[in-house]
Amino acid sequence: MADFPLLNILTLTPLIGGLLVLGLEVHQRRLARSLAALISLVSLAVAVAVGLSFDTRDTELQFVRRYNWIPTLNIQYFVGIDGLGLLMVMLSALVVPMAIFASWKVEDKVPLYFALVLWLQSGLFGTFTALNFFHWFIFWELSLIPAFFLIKLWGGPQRSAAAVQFFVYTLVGSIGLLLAFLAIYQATGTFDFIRLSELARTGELTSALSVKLGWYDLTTKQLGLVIFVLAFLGFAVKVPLIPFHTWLPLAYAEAPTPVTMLLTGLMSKMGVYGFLRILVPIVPAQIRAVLAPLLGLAVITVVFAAAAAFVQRDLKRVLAYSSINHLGYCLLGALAVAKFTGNDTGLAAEKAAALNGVLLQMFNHGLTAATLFCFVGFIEQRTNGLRHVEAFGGLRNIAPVFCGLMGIALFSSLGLPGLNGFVGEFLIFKGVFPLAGWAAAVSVLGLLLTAVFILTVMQHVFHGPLNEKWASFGDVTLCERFIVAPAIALMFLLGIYPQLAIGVFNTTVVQMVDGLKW
Amino acid sequence: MGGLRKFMPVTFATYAIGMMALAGVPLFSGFWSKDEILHAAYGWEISKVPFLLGLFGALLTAFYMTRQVCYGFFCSYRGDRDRVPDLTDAAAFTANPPPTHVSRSNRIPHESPRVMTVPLVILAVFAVLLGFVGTPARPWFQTYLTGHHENVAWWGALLLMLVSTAVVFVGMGLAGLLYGLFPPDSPEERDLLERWQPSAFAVLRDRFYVDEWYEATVVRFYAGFSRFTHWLDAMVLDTLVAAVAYLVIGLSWVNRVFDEYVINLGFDQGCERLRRGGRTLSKLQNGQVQDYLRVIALALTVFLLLLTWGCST
Repeated sequence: MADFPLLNILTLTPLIGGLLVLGLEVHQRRLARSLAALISLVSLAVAVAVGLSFDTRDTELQFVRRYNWIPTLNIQYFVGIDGLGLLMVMLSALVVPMAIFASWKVEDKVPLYFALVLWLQSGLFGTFTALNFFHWFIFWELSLIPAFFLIKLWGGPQRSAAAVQFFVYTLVGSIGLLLAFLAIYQATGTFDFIRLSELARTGELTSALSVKLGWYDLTTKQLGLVIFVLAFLGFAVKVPLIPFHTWLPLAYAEAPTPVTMLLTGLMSKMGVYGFLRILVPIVPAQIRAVLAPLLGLAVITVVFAAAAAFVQRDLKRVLAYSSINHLGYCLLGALAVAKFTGNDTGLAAEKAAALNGVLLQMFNHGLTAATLFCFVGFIEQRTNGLRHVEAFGGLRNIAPVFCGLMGIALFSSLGLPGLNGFVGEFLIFKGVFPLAGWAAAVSVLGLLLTAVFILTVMQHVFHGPLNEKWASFGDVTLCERFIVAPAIALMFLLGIYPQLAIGVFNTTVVQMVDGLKW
Repeated sequence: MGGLRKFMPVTFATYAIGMMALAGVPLFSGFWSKDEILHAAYGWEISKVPFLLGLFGALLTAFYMTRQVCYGFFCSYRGDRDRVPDLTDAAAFTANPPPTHVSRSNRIPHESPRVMTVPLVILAVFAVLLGFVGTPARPWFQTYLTGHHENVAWWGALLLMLVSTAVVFVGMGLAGLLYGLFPPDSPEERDLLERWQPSAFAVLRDRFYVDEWYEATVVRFYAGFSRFTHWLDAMVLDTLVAAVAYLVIGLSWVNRVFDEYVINLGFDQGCERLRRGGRTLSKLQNGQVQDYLRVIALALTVFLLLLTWGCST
């Protein structure tokens, strides 16, 4: 099974599937939907196959394929998977079918819509399995383009502005990343992530940078920092980190809700994945040099986003700021882990806990946020697009199952123990507190603020007197239950038995922490 | 409510047991735990204030619990008296209560069904017996918690038990006297103590205004902070992004102006000069034979002059 090019098939399935769906006629809506759903389920099956054949105790990369692509430039097509990659692949394989089923009611240009969603999935799979910057970057940008069109063609009233801002802002960040990597390539002659992290560990990377690139007589340290800032920009915009986040609320609010599910569940995770796969292994020395300001930014992201969510009046904007807040925890953990601790085994264990928490939080938040936006989509379908927080009230009386299920997702987002959101956050705080006590202490405020705004949303929408306008608000239908049932079940399962997920990537996490010893 | 002990005797009995356990009446479960705490507070070397506060709390507990039982179960029924049957024969009522649907529709107070009363009885049994898990005579629970055998000083403990019992009975007696002698007649009638000291009662009713204080400080701060972050997003950061966008648009305009009026203009002027030069030159070939002959004649003359003068030097 390990010899079978599963990862190539994984990436190609949605790509070719998208082409098939695109070839359908515009009026063949039902066929387009069914075909797209089928293809996403096939991708899920392939991902599950990868997961089942994955050896969780192996410290080497698995399912590796290397092809010499451009030998004169030392560029290879290099794919492989470890615990982190597998986690992200599984998340993508789970959320995209959810989004496709949630998009069932789209009526306009249906084949194009589903083709774009499938290509987005292909871009995601490519990003999470690539280990050479060349094709990693191609897939990174490839996932932007379908998202742009999805927002622009099917979005809300301000969709053009939202799509353009989202695209250009992210592209500017990516250009910084590209520049940084071109510089690194000039210095070291390779685009390979594994090789680059080895060079970084021995310190050869920084010295190679100053030897090969004599830019304006910058010192070694300054040159390294410049390269770091450029690369950091690319990921900081994607995650996003305050103050690079202003594109997000508009994009999330104006995108069609199933696309927002993809944006929040998967594309924001690409940023954190980039931090963990690229920034932390390749430029750790520079991260350590500016660790305090970076941690400060992460803390600000956690606290300010949670506070800003409280005053939003649009349900999707509330959840958008909530996303920024949850990803702030991931960044807090990822940055704290980069701190230099030498051979201290106690702190290495704490780092492993924090990193486990970060990965778990990525998966849990992806799932929970996608489910929440799915529910918002259900609300929109019943109220013809209205999502104002104070426009509802007392929905618990007429749609108790809906409120119950959405309540579970909201409490999971809040971090209630017993549901999946708690474990990731707890592990992050457990690990970060010995490493960066002040950052953890201030970020705990974010937990309180999250509880405040989530409970306020529940109070406004579910409780209180029934708003007569929505007396005909239907309870959740059978199809809708099927869409959210797996996610809700996973919320309980991972909340009670998180070892299911942690067992997959713990080996990789320990290895990553080990690699940061120098 | 009021006088409910005739209507629901089982509920009354279990409630009374629970109330006595809560107040700390001797030999009920609350007594042992309360006494342990008071004993530990008394032994604190630094100050006796917590101990005294605890005693005062016990007094108040006994007082308000007894007040409540008086209000609810004793005195006379303060609800709609027309609906309620005459209770001169309380025993007959208890033996033959009206059927549930009659009681419910007429809103007559009635005993709960067995699904409620059986658990109530079980809980009341525990309220009495559970305390014996950790008495000074056999400190089983304390031994389990601390891991070694606990020794309780008998004489000190006994004195304290007597003191707390006295306090409890004083509280119960006071409340029983006050509300027994001056029972409230209607639900709208204000409490005895409220009539005596209305302002103090108001402070107590408003829970020492803690909620209002919290609302005015923490909640307002948080709302203000949220608005500040939103303002930061909308006014500051969005303005910065818009500024960058306008900068780029401005640069594009400058570029276009440069293209149109500098590069194009310069190019146009150069072309114009070329055309004028070309037009002038084209006059040489205007097709007029006379002009050609004139030029040939001129050229010949110049040529001859050059030859003669040139040769002579």
